[in-house]
Amino acid sequence: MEFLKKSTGHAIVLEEPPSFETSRPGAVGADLPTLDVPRIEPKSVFKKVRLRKARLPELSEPEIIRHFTRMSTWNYAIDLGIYPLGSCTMKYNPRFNEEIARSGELSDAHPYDPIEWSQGHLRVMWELTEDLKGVTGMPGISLQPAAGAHGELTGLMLVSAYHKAKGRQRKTILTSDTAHGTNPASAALAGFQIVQIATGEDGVIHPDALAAVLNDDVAALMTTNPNTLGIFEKNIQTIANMLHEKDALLYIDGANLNAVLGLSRPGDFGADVIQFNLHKTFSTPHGGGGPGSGPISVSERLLPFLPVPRLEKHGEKFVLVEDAPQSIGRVKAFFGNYGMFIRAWCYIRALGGEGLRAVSENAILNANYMRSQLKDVLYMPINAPTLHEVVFNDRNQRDLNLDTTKIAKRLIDYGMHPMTVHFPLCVKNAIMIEPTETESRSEMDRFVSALKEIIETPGVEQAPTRVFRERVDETKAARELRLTYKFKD
Amino acid sequence: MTVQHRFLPTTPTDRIELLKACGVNSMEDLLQGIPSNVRFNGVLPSGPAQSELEIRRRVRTLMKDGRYAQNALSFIGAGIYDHMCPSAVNQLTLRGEFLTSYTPYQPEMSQGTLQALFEFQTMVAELFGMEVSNASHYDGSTSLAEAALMAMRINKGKNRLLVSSSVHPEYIQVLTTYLAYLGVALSFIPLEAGATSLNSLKSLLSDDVMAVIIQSPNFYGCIEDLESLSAVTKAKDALFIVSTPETLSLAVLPSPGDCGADIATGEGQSFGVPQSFGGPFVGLFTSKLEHVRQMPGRLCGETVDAQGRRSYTLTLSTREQHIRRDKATSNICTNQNLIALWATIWLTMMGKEGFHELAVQNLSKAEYAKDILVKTGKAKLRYPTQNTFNEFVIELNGSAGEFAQKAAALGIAPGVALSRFDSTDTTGLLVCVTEKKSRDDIDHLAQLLRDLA
Repeated sequence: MEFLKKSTGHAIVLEEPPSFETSRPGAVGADLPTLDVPRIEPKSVFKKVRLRKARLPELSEPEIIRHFTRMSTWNYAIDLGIYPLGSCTMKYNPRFNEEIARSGELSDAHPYDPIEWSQGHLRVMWELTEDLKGVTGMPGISLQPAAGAHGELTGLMLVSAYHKAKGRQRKTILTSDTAHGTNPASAALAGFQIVQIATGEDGVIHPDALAAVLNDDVAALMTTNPNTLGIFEKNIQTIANMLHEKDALLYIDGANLNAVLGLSRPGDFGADVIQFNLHKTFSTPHGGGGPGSGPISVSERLLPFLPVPRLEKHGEKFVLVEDAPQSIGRVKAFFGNYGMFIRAWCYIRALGGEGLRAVSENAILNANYMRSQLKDVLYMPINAPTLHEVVFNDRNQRDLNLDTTKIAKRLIDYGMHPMTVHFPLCVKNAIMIEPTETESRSEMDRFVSALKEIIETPGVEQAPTRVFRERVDETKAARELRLTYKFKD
Repeated sequence: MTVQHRFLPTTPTDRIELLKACGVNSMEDLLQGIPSNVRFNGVLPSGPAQSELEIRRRVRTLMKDGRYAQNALSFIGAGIYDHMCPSAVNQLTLRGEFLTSYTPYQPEMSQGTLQALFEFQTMVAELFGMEVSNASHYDGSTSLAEAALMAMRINKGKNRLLVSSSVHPEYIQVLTTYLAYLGVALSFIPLEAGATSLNSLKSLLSDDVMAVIIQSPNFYGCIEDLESLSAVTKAKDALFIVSTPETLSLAVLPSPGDCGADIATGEGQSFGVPQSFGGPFVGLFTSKLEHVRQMPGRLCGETVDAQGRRSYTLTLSTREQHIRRDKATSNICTNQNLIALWATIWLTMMGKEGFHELAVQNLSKAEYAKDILVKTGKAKLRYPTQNTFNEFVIELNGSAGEFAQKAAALGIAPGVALSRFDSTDTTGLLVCVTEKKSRDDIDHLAQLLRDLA
């Protein structure tokens, strides 16, 4: 347990109950401006008023600062160390982007401001659009979708609209067994049925497997490239051609775009729609689970159907166009998650075109380094060239009374966030590692050392134990269902 | 040749060693998995790398005509509300442990995010007077669309949805887009003097109606009679769904839950979240407990750890896409966690009394503004019989759009000309007055009306 001893020190981590328990009548957390107009009591104008004041906590400002600061110390974060969640792309989030996006110049604006006031914001959106087109090599962009899954849904609505415009309704979306759960869920929400294709032994979709299910009811194939095994779909050009022959479309899930910036453009092999995850590829912070931003890029075929409003440049002036007869309509109020556009725009400018390629190259190099360091310890079910992530499983550990879940939970005791586990579904007990380009060699070595020590010293059943909270009882949470604080009064 | 950059820790020497460990000689060897016919050999068109200094300079130049640079005065609301926000909220949400963590799928190393979500769910459920809140949604518009989808699941077999014409026009557009693929018919309930017509609702309700959607305060600022609308809806076994874009109003108005809502959604931007040109915001989503298994999105629940200590975890995830795939209650993967945290901190800082007092200030300022604007003789209230919270429609003698345009040139946005949403409505101006407008600001608007309208 040598490495364990030097992995984590003694942290100063304090208990802190929910704010409702420390609340005391009379404590004030914020000052309001002095009311400089006659005071109107709600009950003097409204027929009915709220029965009793909402039971929000009552605490002073220093108490509130401590409350949330203490809670923050219970979280792991990319700022603390490696976060090798496969397909989640947990990379460093540049602080400059945060400062700019939160500055009054950018955060004060209202989407209904006079258009003359908004030209700067619209230009930022325009430039981001051009950057994203460069990455995909595809002619259309919509920045509207609020997150990756929302981008998927929007993309599938475009697919539906495309077929409808041709006077037909196609009901089937093909996905592969490496697909994210959001793919079938988004397809269902857009009114489609799913047919899943099994990937071959080399981890990619084969033209024969596609041919077996490709018929006139197929609206599109939805696949991630590189896929969730970290493998580039080497038959993608053939697949695109086969789809297009049937007038079916190719949807690329852009979740793994971090592997191919400046190395391969989906538009060049015939992709029709792809969603970006600005919070993955373009470094906007994950924020503990959002906000994301999921712009989409589309081929010529889907241009007429893009959502409104559409950003256009008329001479030197930027305008938002609402009138587009074939559009699927609006997918979100206002103009998308603009605050995320700013961060991505800053990130792209900080790196430049060549820097973006360096991002992908370093991501690939790091993942292959991890592969080289772990391939003799963990079993690799599919032995093909991998890019930005690598998938193993626990086959070599089964005799040791160790499995994927135990390894993951034990990593927490080493002060490291586990990799993605039990995904992709095509690999049983998968262990999926994506270091990203922002990890140094020494940080990757730290992770490798921890993993090796866990495997060499099995038998720790109850991990994690060296944390603020030990194994959390998820079954009890689901059975007894306490979703809100139970007030005493 | 891979360029060096401050975001990339690998040095040229490291690179040689890493490549060696990988058993290859060059970066190119690692790219063999990408077939040559789909390799891109150009340079991305994003230009050269720029320093922080250069980007900052560029931002300043681009934003020189913006609202902030010209210190403009604005009375625009219409779904996004400019409320005060204590500095501590921004500072706390910058903590890297909140900002740069992932979804709390590993509860043992995410208790901070999880407890904050539990507090968020508690406060949101309390404000709406509902039993359950989820861990947040993209925004108010998509929350409402998902509420309609949830109603479809609960009331299977019914295929019609009634939506009040006073719902935010962009929310209606989103709803229409979402439902286009699912075989649901939308019918709109007409208005009577700026609020949903109860008689029209009665005549539109039939056995095939799954749910009725009402916004309050509605898009024109008028407060709907939720109780009566709900009673009529329930009599026909349809679900009653309430949308609240201006959630500060919940401090003083009867809660949707008290008025009989089955599902209540809203926009949490009102909780001090920057307007940020339209996003990111935080969608609020609440329902009755009996429908919790049909709810979309994440839920955080209280439990214990192996030592019996109070802990939190995401729960009921068998509803969600990563488990149920195409059978999930929604495709939603993320919530709007950092903005939910923002809202939680803001609500904690406002506190029980402050939140209520803030709402009183909004009401008082808006009532003052109504009074003084009407006294100019250049405008009248379009819906004088209706109660409003912090937003109302005035009717100008001439074109509202032209007035707004003239005012904009002076650095003032007097409201939203309703012609933006309905080209035949040339005289209506939607004016919002929050606590951030001083008496002088409001007097200034009145003077402008005298001078320009």
